Amino acid sequence: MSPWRKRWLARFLARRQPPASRALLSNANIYILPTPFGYAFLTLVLAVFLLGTNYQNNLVLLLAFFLVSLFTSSMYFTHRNLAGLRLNRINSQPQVAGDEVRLEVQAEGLSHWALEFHFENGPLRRTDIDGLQRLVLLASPGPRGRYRPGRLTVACRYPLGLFRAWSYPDLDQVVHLYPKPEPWPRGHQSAGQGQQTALHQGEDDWQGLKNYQPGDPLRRVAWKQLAQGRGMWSKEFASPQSDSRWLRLADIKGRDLEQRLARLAWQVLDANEKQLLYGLDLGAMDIAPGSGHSHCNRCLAALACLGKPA
Amino acid sequence: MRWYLPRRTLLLLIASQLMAVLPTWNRVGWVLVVLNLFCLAWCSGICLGRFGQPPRWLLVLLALAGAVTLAFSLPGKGVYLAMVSLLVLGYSLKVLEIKAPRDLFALVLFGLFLLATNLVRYQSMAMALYLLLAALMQLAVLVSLHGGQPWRLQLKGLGRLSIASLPFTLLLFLLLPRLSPLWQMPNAQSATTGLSDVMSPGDFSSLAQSTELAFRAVLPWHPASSGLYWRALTLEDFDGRSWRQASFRQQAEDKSVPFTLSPGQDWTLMMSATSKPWLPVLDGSQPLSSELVLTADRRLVTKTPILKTRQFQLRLAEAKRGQASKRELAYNRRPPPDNPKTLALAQQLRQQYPADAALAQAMNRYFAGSQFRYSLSPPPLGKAAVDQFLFETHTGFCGHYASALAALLRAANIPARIVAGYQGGQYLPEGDFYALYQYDAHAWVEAWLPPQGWVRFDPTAQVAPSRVSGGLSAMAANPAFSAGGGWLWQLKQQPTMKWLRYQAALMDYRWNRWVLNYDSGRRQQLLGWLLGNHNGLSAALLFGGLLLVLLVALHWWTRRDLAPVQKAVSRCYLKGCAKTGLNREPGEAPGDFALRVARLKPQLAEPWQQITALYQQLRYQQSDAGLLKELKRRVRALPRSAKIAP
Repeated sequence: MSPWRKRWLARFLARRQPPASRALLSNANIYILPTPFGYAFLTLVLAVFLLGTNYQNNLVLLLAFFLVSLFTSSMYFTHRNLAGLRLNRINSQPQVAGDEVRLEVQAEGLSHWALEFHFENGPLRRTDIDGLQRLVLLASPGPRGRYRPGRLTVACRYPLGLFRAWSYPDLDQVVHLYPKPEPWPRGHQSAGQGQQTALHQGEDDWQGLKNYQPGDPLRRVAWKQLAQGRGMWSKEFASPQSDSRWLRLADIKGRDLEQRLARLAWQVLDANEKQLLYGLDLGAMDIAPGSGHSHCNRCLAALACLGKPA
Repeated sequence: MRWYLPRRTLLLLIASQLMAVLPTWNRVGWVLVVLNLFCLAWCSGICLGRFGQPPRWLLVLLALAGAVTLAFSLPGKGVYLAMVSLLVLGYSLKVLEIKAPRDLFALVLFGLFLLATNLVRYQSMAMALYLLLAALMQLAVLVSLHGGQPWRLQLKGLGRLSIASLPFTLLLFLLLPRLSPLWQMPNAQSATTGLSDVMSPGDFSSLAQSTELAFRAVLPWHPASSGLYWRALTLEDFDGRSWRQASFRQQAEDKSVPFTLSPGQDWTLMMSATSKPWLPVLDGSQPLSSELVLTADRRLVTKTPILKTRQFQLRLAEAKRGQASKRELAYNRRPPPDNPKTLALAQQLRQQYPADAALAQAMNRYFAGSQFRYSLSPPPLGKAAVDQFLFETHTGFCGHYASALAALLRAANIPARIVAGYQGGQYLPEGDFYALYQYDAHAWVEAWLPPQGWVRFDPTAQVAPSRVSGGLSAMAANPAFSAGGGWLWQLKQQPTMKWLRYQAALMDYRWNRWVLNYDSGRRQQLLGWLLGNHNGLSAALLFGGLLLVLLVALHWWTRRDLAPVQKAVSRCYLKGCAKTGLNREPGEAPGDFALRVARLKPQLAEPWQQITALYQQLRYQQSDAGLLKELKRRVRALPRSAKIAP
């Protein structure tokens, strides 16, 4: 497609099908045209018609008429196979830059056969949708930052392959691509300077139990009490302050910003894996200490966006 | 784009190709058949993982073998057969190089076209059904390539698609104007059974064994079977053994004589394909259409050979038998060569009966003598066929008797000729028509006896009267006849078999009348019936209007419920709740509600529990069409709330 046509198509689609978290495929946004095979089929129909006309043979004419009728009705069936499909966005977690991007979509509908899903330049996923289904789609790798996979292409040629019906829903998906983590345990040490590591402190100065709050690290859950059926409790420690620590970009050395960010990403993932309380200080912005999956994702997203236009 | 060819698709492809090639097998020769089978076998081997792709040299070798075969076998067989053979060759070889879907597409298109060429050759209803099935197989290949669902659902999808296409097909067939041929196509017929313009005694026995339909006749009256003589050919050139059509009959002035249409009864002839121009008609028939000509010997011929079943309108008037040119009479008087005993017999009879008419009658009665026997398997005859028959073998059927009588008459200086055609006919009251089969083929004699003119004599009737009054099938009881007919004849005389054959004949008649012979005239009739006084514009409007109606119907049929699955699930569940007759409290969980239902309506406990379980599964675990259908079914099965005791 020429760049000019591409721009025109983008503008057209932006008006017709603006980005939204959900999409319903219907007459308004399904396009349909014969495939090359469809045109070849029409040529065959013409040949059969000529054969029937020249031999004045009603049966051959009937065959030609049947084939041309199939052509028409298969247009309806192909369109119908796509119509009524619902697509919902599923928010994606930050992913490593440079790898194939995994995007998830929830598809909902009854009896949609042999649909093809793909993002631009991404591999094709062929599947039936009959009910509610979570689809994992791959998009091409991208650089660090906010990544927009753009419009999804949903297409089908069912039943005969004479027509291809397709639609370009835009689920307004955004994925944060953080730098590929590079191990940097030294920074780890320096971050703990002047304080004891959380690991030891926490276990020495055990204070008592407090009510479990969502977000408390799992390793602090009082499993014994839970097992005895006394409810969910968290173990409390003497000095929560000393348990938390800051991962600072300024503390990490490296060739350039990208390498330093890569090392910081490794530290975030490491801290998350060890279920520590940690905060992130990037100079221009900081994230208060916390723990858990969503906290980790926030930190990685911040790493992805640093120095990039929003 | 990434593609893969499922094994199921390839197996379907092999089956569909087998179906498409099968009807061509007796036409394209055994080399191509073997080649095709080899390619298909190799392809199944690939499909089952036994062989790899064939090597390049093998493909080249196969292509060369096919081409050489074609080059040797085709000359003289005509362009049409060459086209079919080439199609089969290419179609077979293509199977060995399937790599991508585009190869499959090409094969499907090949296959569909091959089916169309088969339809040119075979037009019976059974064959049409078979070919329709074969066409659907080709489509099944496409569906299996483009749809991923289980084969049962694929079949259902194909069925829906085909059914949705039928009304369109019918509309196009009935209302689209018929075009005349855009260019002359090569003759599709290679050989057909039927009468030939040369008759040696014994020739008709192959026809007598053939149960192929020769023609049908729709007569507005019901003559006795013995009066039905369908004249197709006159044979006047006799060489002592064989009778031929006289060469002067081929000339233009004899071929077409002017006539004035006389009053009479109109009848319809539905002629099967013969690739010959002559028509079997009752004596005295006149053509009502310009494509037929009346000949000097009162036959009807078409201007072009009959290549497919065609229908002709005719009028039966009083036969004018009193005309004969001098040349014609002289030609028919020539004594039979090489048959001296026949000449002697004729002289002997002449002395007894000086008058021509009496002599002819006597000669005809001569065959009623006890020494003559009717048989479909007579001994072969030599060069002096008539002498041998009259004085040695005494055994034969219509051809022998007619030949002998005509020879006797000529030997006595009475002009005589053989007429070849059909005799009798099976009447089918439901269709109100007469069906004549090849085994009804018959030969008889016409003698010139002024003042009546040409008078018909059927010596066969003297020997085997039932042959003429009841048709050949009535002869089955005759052991002499059965010896020639074989066990098949016996089987065909069973009442059930007779009934089945009768029904089949009736269906075939309707098939011919309504499908094969639908033409511009019929289309005009239909339009007239629909629109009254119509012109091109109103016909086009009707066509467009019906097309629009069909499109709207199709649109409505394929319209899809755009409500999300979850909504459908909830709606169905709520309908079930209403049917229980209990009000579900806001915020009452399905499980709690189910407990309440079990307490208050114990008779509903069991089914409602199942509905709840299904609902929860659909709502929170997985959902698919099968489960939803099940839920709907169970909710429907609940008794109405009014019928549930509190």
